[in-house]
Amino acid sequence: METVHAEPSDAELIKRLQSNDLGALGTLFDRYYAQIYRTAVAITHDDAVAEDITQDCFLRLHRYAHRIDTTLPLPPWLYRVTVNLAYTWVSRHKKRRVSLETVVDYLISPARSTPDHAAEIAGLQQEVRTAISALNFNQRVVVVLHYLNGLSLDDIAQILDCPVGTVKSRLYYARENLRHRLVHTNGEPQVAHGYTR
Amino acid sequence: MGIPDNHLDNMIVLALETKTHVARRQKLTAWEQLHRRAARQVMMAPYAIPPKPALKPSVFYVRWARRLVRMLHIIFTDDTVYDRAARKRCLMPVWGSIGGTVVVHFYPPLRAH
Repeated sequence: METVHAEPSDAELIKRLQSNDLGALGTLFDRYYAQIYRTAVAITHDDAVAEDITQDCFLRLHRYAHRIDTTLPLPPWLYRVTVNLAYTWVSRHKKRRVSLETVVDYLISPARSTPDHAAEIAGLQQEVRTAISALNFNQRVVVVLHYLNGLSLDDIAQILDCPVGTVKSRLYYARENLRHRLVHTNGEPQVAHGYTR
Repeated sequence: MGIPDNHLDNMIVLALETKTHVARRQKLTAWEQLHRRAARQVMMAPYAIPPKPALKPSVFYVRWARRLVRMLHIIFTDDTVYDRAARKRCLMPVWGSIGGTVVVHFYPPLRAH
Protein backbone atom coordinates (compact mmCIF):
# COMPACT_ATOMS: atom_id res chain seq x y z
CA MET A 1 0.00 0.00 0.00
CA GLU A 2 1.36 3.39 -0.98
CA THR A 3 1.66 6.22 1.46
CA VAL A 4 0.81 9.62 0.08
CA HIS A 5 2.86 12.52 1.41
CA ALA A 6 0.77 15.65 1.24
CA GLU A 7 2.48 18.87 0.38
CA PRO A 8 2.95 21.03 3.47
CA SER A 9 0.63 24.00 3.57
CA ASP A 10 1.89 27.57 3.42
CA ALA A 11 1.02 28.04 7.09
CA GLU A 12 3.09 25.00 8.09
CA LEU A 13 6.00 26.23 6.02
CA ILE A 14 5.85 29.69 7.56
CA LYS A 15 5.84 28.17 11.03
CA ARG A 16 8.93 26.19 10.09
CA LEU A 17 10.44 29.34 8.62
CA GLN A 18 9.83 31.11 11.92
CA SER A 19 12.33 28.70 13.45
CA ASN A 20 14.77 29.75 10.71
CA ASP A 21 14.30 26.63 8.60
CA LEU A 22 15.68 27.70 5.21
CA GLY A 23 14.36 24.49 3.68
CA ALA A 24 10.86 25.83 4.24
CA LEU A 25 11.89 29.05 2.50
CA GLY A 26 13.14 26.92 -0.39
CA THR A 27 9.80 25.17 -0.71
CA LEU A 28 7.92 28.48 -0.66
CA PHE A 29 10.41 29.90 -3.16
CA ASP A 30 9.85 26.92 -5.43
CA ARG A 31 6.10 27.32 -5.09
CA TYR A 32 5.79 31.05 -5.74
CA TYR A 33 8.95 32.16 -7.56
CA ALA A 34 7.48 32.09 -11.08
CA GLN A 35 4.32 33.97 -10.10
CA ILE A 36 6.18 36.69 -8.26
CA TYR A 37 8.85 37.04 -10.94
CA ARG A 38 6.30 37.28 -13.76
CA THR A 39 4.32 39.85 -11.81
CA ALA A 40 7.42 41.93 -11.21
CA VAL A 41 8.45 41.76 -14.87
CA ALA A 42 4.98 42.71 -16.03
CA ILE A 43 4.99 45.77 -13.79
CA THR A 44 8.59 46.96 -14.20
CA HIS A 45 9.34 45.72 -17.75
CA ASP A 46 12.88 44.95 -16.68
CA ASP A 47 14.13 41.40 -16.16
CA ALA A 48 17.04 42.34 -13.90
CA VAL A 49 14.90 44.58 -11.72
CA ALA A 50 12.21 41.91 -11.53
CA GLU A 51 14.83 39.43 -10.35
CA ASP A 52 15.95 41.86 -7.62
CA ILE A 53 12.36 42.50 -6.56
CA THR A 54 11.65 38.76 -6.36
CA GLN A 55 14.77 38.25 -4.24
CA ASP A 56 13.78 41.10 -1.94
CA CYS A 57 10.25 39.75 -1.67
CA PHE A 58 11.44 36.35 -0.44
CA LEU A 59 14.07 37.94 1.79
CA ARG A 60 11.27 39.89 3.45
CA LEU A 61 9.27 36.73 3.79
CA HIS A 62 12.20 35.28 5.73
CA ARG A 63 12.88 38.42 7.70
CA TYR A 64 9.28 39.07 8.73
CA ALA A 65 8.22 35.43 9.08
CA HIS A 66 7.31 35.98 12.73
CA ARG A 67 4.97 38.81 11.80
CA ILE A 68 3.00 36.99 9.12
CA ASP A 69 -0.47 35.90 10.08
CA THR A 70 -0.56 32.20 9.26
CA THR A 71 -4.35 32.13 9.36
CA LEU A 72 -4.43 34.24 6.19
CA PRO A 73 -3.39 33.04 2.71
CA LEU A 74 0.19 33.84 1.75
CA PRO A 75 -0.08 34.89 -1.94
CA PRO A 76 -1.81 38.24 -1.24
CA TRP A 77 1.02 39.09 1.19
CA LEU A 78 3.62 38.24 -1.46
CA TYR A 79 1.79 40.23 -4.13
CA ARG A 80 1.48 43.22 -1.85
CA VAL A 81 5.21 43.21 -1.11
CA THR A 82 5.96 42.80 -4.83
CA VAL A 83 3.71 45.69 -5.80
CA ASN A 84 5.21 47.90 -3.09
CA LEU A 85 8.77 47.09 -4.15
CA ALA A 86 7.86 47.64 -7.81
CA TYR A 87 6.21 50.95 -6.95
CA THR A 88 9.35 52.09 -5.17
CA TRP A 89 11.47 51.17 -8.18
CA VAL A 90 9.13 52.73 -10.74
CA SER A 91 8.80 55.97 -8.82
CA ARG A 92 12.59 56.23 -8.47
CA HIS A 93 13.28 55.50 -12.12
CA LYS A 94 10.43 57.42 -13.69
CA LYS A 95 12.68 60.27 -14.76
CA ARG A 96 15.15 58.18 -16.69
CA ARG A 97 12.93 55.61 -18.28
CA VAL A 98 13.93 54.67 -21.78
CA SER A 99 11.45 54.51 -24.61
CA LEU A 100 8.83 51.84 -24.27
CA GLU A 101 9.76 50.17 -27.52
CA THR A 102 13.31 49.46 -26.38
CA VAL A 103 12.10 47.98 -23.14
CA VAL A 104 10.00 45.30 -24.76
CA ASP A 105 12.80 43.30 -26.34
CA TYR A 106 12.51 40.04 -24.47
CA LEU A 107 9.84 38.55 -26.57
CA ILE A 108 9.58 34.80 -26.50
CA SER A 109 7.10 33.92 -29.16
CA PRO A 110 5.23 30.62 -28.80
CA ALA A 111 5.50 27.98 -31.47
CA ARG A 112 2.93 28.50 -34.21
CA SER A 113 2.00 26.79 -37.37
CA THR A 114 3.80 29.10 -39.81
CA PRO A 115 6.59 31.62 -39.39
CA ASP A 116 4.37 34.39 -40.79
CA HIS A 117 1.63 33.66 -38.32
CA ALA A 118 4.10 33.47 -35.46
CA ALA A 119 5.62 36.79 -36.49
CA GLU A 120 2.20 38.38 -36.74
CA ILE A 121 1.16 37.13 -33.31
CA ALA A 122 4.49 38.21 -31.84
CA GLY A 123 4.02 41.66 -33.33
CA LEU A 124 0.57 41.98 -31.85
CA GLN A 125 1.77 40.78 -28.45
CA GLN A 126 4.47 43.40 -28.54
CA GLU A 127 1.93 46.11 -29.33
CA VAL A 128 -0.25 45.02 -26.43
CA ARG A 129 2.74 44.94 -24.09
CA THR A 130 3.81 48.37 -25.24
CA ALA A 131 0.30 49.63 -24.58
CA ILE A 132 0.28 48.03 -21.12
CA SER A 133 3.64 49.56 -20.26
CA ALA A 134 2.26 52.98 -21.22
CA LEU A 135 -0.46 52.75 -18.58
CA ASN A 136 0.10 54.56 -15.33
CA PHE A 137 1.39 52.50 -12.40
CA ASN A 138 -1.95 51.97 -10.65
CA GLN A 139 -3.75 50.85 -13.79
CA ARG A 140 -0.86 48.61 -14.83
CA VAL A 141 -0.77 46.88 -11.46
CA VAL A 142 -4.49 46.14 -11.60
CA VAL A 143 -4.19 44.80 -15.15
CA VAL A 144 -1.26 42.55 -14.21
CA LEU A 145 -2.87 41.20 -11.05
CA HIS A 146 -6.18 40.59 -12.81
CA TYR A 147 -5.08 39.19 -16.16
CA LEU A 148 -1.73 37.60 -15.35
CA ASN A 149 -2.40 36.33 -11.84
CA GLY A 150 -6.12 35.78 -12.32
CA LEU A 151 -7.03 37.54 -9.08
CA SER A 152 -10.55 38.72 -8.40
CA LEU A 153 -11.34 42.38 -7.89
CA ASP A 154 -11.91 41.72 -4.17
CA ASP A 155 -8.50 40.09 -3.84
CA ILE A 156 -6.83 42.97 -5.67
CA ALA A 157 -8.59 45.48 -3.43
CA GLN A 158 -7.27 43.60 -0.40
CA ILE A 159 -3.74 43.50 -1.79
CA LEU A 160 -3.71 47.17 -2.74
CA ASP A 161 -5.60 48.16 0.40
CA CYS A 162 -8.19 50.18 -1.46
CA PRO A 163 -11.96 49.90 -2.08
CA VAL A 164 -13.24 47.45 -4.70
CA GLY A 165 -14.82 50.39 -6.52
CA THR A 166 -11.39 51.92 -7.02
CA VAL A 167 -10.07 48.67 -8.48
CA LYS A 168 -13.07 48.46 -10.82
CA SER A 169 -12.53 52.03 -11.92
CA ARG A 170 -8.81 51.50 -12.55
CA LEU A 171 -9.48 48.33 -14.52
CA TYR A 172 -12.17 50.04 -16.59
CA TYR A 173 -9.96 52.99 -17.51
CA ALA A 174 -6.98 50.72 -18.12
CA ARG A 175 -9.02 48.67 -20.61
CA GLU A 176 -10.34 51.79 -22.29
CA ASN A 177 -6.82 53.19 -22.57
CA LEU A 178 -5.55 49.92 -24.03
CA ARG A 179 -8.43 49.73 -26.48
CA HIS A 180 -7.90 53.32 -27.58
CA ARG A 181 -4.15 52.88 -27.97
CA LEU A 182 -4.41 49.61 -29.88
CA VAL A 183 -7.05 50.93 -32.26
CA HIS A 184 -5.02 54.05 -32.93
CA THR A 185 -1.81 52.10 -33.39
CA ASN A 186 -3.32 49.81 -35.96
CA GLY A 187 -5.86 52.14 -37.48
CA GLU A 188 -8.47 49.42 -37.56
CA PRO A 189 -9.53 46.87 -35.00
CA GLN A 190 -8.70 43.94 -37.23
CA VAL A 191 -5.80 43.21 -34.87
CA ALA A 192 -8.31 41.50 -32.68
CA HIS A 193 -9.81 39.23 -35.30
CA GLY A 194 -8.73 35.65 -34.95
CA TYR A 195 -6.64 36.58 -31.94
CA THR A 196 -8.11 34.10 -29.58
CA ARG A 197 -6.38 31.34 -27.76
CA MET B 1 -15.74 50.65 -33.97
CA GLY B 2 -13.57 49.41 -31.11
CA ILE B 3 -12.06 46.11 -30.14
CA PRO B 4 -14.66 43.74 -28.69
CA ASP B 5 -14.32 43.05 -24.98
CA ASN B 6 -13.52 39.36 -25.23
CA HIS B 7 -10.86 39.97 -27.88
CA LEU B 8 -9.27 42.68 -25.80
CA ASP B 9 -9.22 40.35 -22.79
CA ASN B 10 -7.60 37.60 -24.84
CA MET B 11 -4.99 39.94 -26.21
CA ILE B 12 -4.04 41.18 -22.74
CA VAL B 13 -3.86 37.68 -21.27
CA LEU B 14 -1.79 36.33 -24.13
CA ALA B 15 0.57 39.30 -24.12
CA LEU B 16 1.18 38.99 -20.38
CA GLU B 17 1.38 35.21 -20.17
CA THR B 18 3.96 34.76 -22.89
CA LYS B 19 6.01 37.64 -21.65
CA THR B 20 8.37 35.74 -19.43
CA HIS B 21 9.77 32.29 -19.43
CA VAL B 22 11.38 31.19 -16.20
CA ALA B 23 14.26 28.84 -16.98
CA ARG B 24 15.22 26.15 -14.47
CA ARG B 25 18.79 27.45 -14.38
CA GLN B 26 17.60 30.99 -13.63
CA LYS B 27 15.47 29.75 -10.76
CA LEU B 28 18.30 27.67 -9.33
CA THR B 29 20.72 30.59 -9.47
CA ALA B 30 18.13 32.85 -7.84
CA TRP B 31 17.60 30.33 -5.04
CA GLU B 32 21.33 29.96 -4.37
CA GLN B 33 21.65 33.73 -4.11
CA LEU B 34 18.57 33.98 -1.90
CA HIS B 35 19.80 31.19 0.36
CA ARG B 36 23.13 32.95 0.88
CA ARG B 37 21.48 36.26 1.67
CA ALA B 38 18.84 34.73 3.93
CA ALA B 39 21.48 32.84 5.91
CA ARG B 40 23.22 36.15 6.66
CA GLN B 41 20.00 37.97 7.45
CA VAL B 42 18.68 38.54 10.95
CA MET B 43 15.03 37.67 11.40
CA MET B 44 12.78 40.25 12.98
CA ALA B 45 11.29 39.42 16.32
CA PRO B 46 7.52 39.02 16.54
CA TYR B 47 5.49 42.04 17.50
CA ALA B 48 5.45 42.38 21.26
CA ILE B 49 1.93 43.39 22.21
CA PRO B 50 2.01 44.72 25.76
CA PRO B 51 -0.75 43.29 27.93
CA LYS B 52 -3.44 45.74 28.94
CA PRO B 53 -2.90 46.76 32.56
CA ALA B 54 -5.84 45.68 34.67
CA LEU B 55 -7.58 48.49 36.51
CA LYS B 56 -7.47 48.27 40.26
CA PRO B 57 -10.97 48.29 41.80
CA SER B 58 -10.23 51.46 43.72
CA VAL B 59 -9.17 53.31 40.57
CA PHE B 60 -12.30 52.07 38.82
CA TYR B 61 -14.66 53.34 41.55
CA VAL B 62 -12.87 56.67 41.93
CA ARG B 63 -13.17 57.25 38.20
CA TRP B 64 -16.92 56.61 38.22
CA ALA B 65 -17.40 58.74 41.34
CA ARG B 66 -15.68 61.66 39.63
CA ARG B 67 -17.89 61.29 36.59
CA LEU B 68 -21.00 61.29 38.77
CA VAL B 69 -19.91 64.39 40.67
CA ARG B 70 -19.17 66.21 37.43
CA MET B 71 -22.58 65.31 36.06
CA LEU B 72 -24.38 66.50 39.21
CA HIS B 73 -22.38 69.70 39.14
CA ILE B 74 -23.45 70.41 35.57
CA ILE B 75 -27.11 69.69 36.32
CA PHE B 76 -27.54 71.60 39.58
CA THR B 77 -24.90 74.25 39.95
CA ASP B 78 -23.31 75.07 36.64
CA ASP B 79 -25.33 77.82 34.94
CA THR B 80 -22.93 78.72 32.16
CA VAL B 81 -25.02 76.78 29.68
CA TYR B 82 -28.16 78.62 30.82
CA ASP B 83 -26.38 81.98 30.66
CA ARG B 84 -25.11 81.39 27.19
CA ALA B 85 -28.54 80.45 25.91
CA ALA B 86 -30.14 83.44 27.64
CA ARG B 87 -27.64 85.87 26.15
CA LYS B 88 -28.29 84.71 22.64
CA ARG B 89 -32.02 84.46 23.04
CA CYS B 90 -32.58 87.52 20.84
CA LEU B 91 -30.90 85.75 17.95
CA MET B 92 -33.55 83.05 17.92
CA PRO B 93 -36.76 84.33 16.30
CA VAL B 94 -39.92 82.51 17.23
CA TRP B 95 -42.54 82.06 14.56
CA GLY B 96 -46.19 82.03 15.32
CA SER B 97 -49.53 83.09 13.87
CA ILE B 98 -52.09 85.42 15.38
CA GLY B 99 -55.46 85.53 13.63
CA GLY B 100 -54.11 84.00 10.49
CA THR B 101 -51.16 86.40 10.33
CA VAL B 102 -47.64 85.11 10.66
CA VAL B 103 -45.79 86.89 13.45
CA VAL B 104 -42.11 86.74 14.30
CA HIS B 105 -41.02 87.41 17.89
CA PHE B 106 -37.58 88.49 18.99
CA TYR B 107 -37.02 88.13 22.68
CA PRO B 108 -34.67 90.49 24.48
CA PRO B 109 -31.85 89.04 26.57
CA LEU B 110 -32.97 87.92 30.01
CA ARG B 111 -30.03 89.41 31.79
CA ALA B 112 -27.99 92.47 31.16
CA HIS B 113 -24.27 91.71 30.98
